[in-house]
Amino acid sequence: MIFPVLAAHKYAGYYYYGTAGSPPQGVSAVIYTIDKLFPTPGEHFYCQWVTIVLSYSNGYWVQVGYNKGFDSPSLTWYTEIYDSGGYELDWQNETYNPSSGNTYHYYIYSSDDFTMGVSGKFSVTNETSPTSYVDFQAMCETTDISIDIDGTDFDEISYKQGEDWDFWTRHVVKEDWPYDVTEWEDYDFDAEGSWP
Amino acid sequence: MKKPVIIVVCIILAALVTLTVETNERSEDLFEPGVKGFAPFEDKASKVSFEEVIKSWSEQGIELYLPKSLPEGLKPTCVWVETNSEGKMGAIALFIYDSQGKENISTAELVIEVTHRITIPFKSETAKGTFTKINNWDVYIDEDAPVAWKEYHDMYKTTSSIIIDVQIGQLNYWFRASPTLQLAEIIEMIENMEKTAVS
Repeated sequence: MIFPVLAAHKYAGYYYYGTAGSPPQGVSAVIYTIDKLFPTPGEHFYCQWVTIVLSYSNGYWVQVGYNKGFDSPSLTWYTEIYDSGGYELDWQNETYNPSSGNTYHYYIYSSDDFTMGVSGKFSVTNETSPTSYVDFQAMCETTDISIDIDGTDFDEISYKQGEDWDFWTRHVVKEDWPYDVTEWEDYDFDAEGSWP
Repeated sequence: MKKPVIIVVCIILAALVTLTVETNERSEDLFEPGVKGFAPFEDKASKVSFEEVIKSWSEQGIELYLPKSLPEGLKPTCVWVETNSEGKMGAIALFIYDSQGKENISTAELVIEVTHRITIPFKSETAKGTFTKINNWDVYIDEDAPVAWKEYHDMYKTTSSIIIDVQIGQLNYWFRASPTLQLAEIIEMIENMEKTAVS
């Protein structure tokens, strides 16, 4: 049985910062699509996503984003879940794929189940166990520091409260070397960098 | 001659449908190189003492319960609590216990993840564990819950943990226990949970 090595990856982006009281019911962001060449696309990948963390101690999450590299050689949307029922990665490429240079609106929200997707492109609903969550993240992720993430741009990062989506008003930055994050607003950041 | 051909075609189609359905189900065989995941909690959090969290949360009016007594050898080591740029402690804290003094979330023998939730985050329709009550608190027990951390697998030679989830007031207590702890020991810890106070 093979399991992930989550901490070995590199991240650039924002964590949400929670306060006392029930957390909001969803996360969304407008993410610009970058298409990068890198030396070992068969071994490595980069992806940009929004995530709902279901548990930090067991490492459970729900995620929607786009990916390039490893088992998806071109830009491809995906959804990913890991919970007490196991792991599931679904490529959402039956109808559309993301286009380099375009921005798309990614979202995940919870009612009884989790609904996630890219506005106007696809939407899927999944049950999870646990059914509720503890945190949100909006990040660029790579498996190798040689991958150049220049041009990364997340904007309008939002949380869902009732029927409304509001921009984040707080965040904690995540910036793994060699990547740099430019914090424009609590709901807006750019990222860049690579090594060498 | 045509009937057997039709039957064979039907069998093939049925097999394809079955395969399609199976690809949409959860798998325990995580495909390591392609798994994405999320950024670790430690990088948004500060490592502080139990007393610091108890004091900070008490000042914020948050009622925190923790076990009064522990299984033999098990000791509190530290707390990972989310902290903003001004140093203010937020609403998520992971209390770490370990007999060897380990401080990592991934490898500690016991982690109590304390968060603000309204109810237990498991439903009888979808959860595979059992629901019960301890001290009149709602409790959920899963004795075989997968863990994502490779360091945990390497250390304990297993990919699963015990989860006991307890709801006390507005806070949720998610116990993740390694195989070094028995279910009865964790239940006993929950039975003797008490409201913390600033010393």
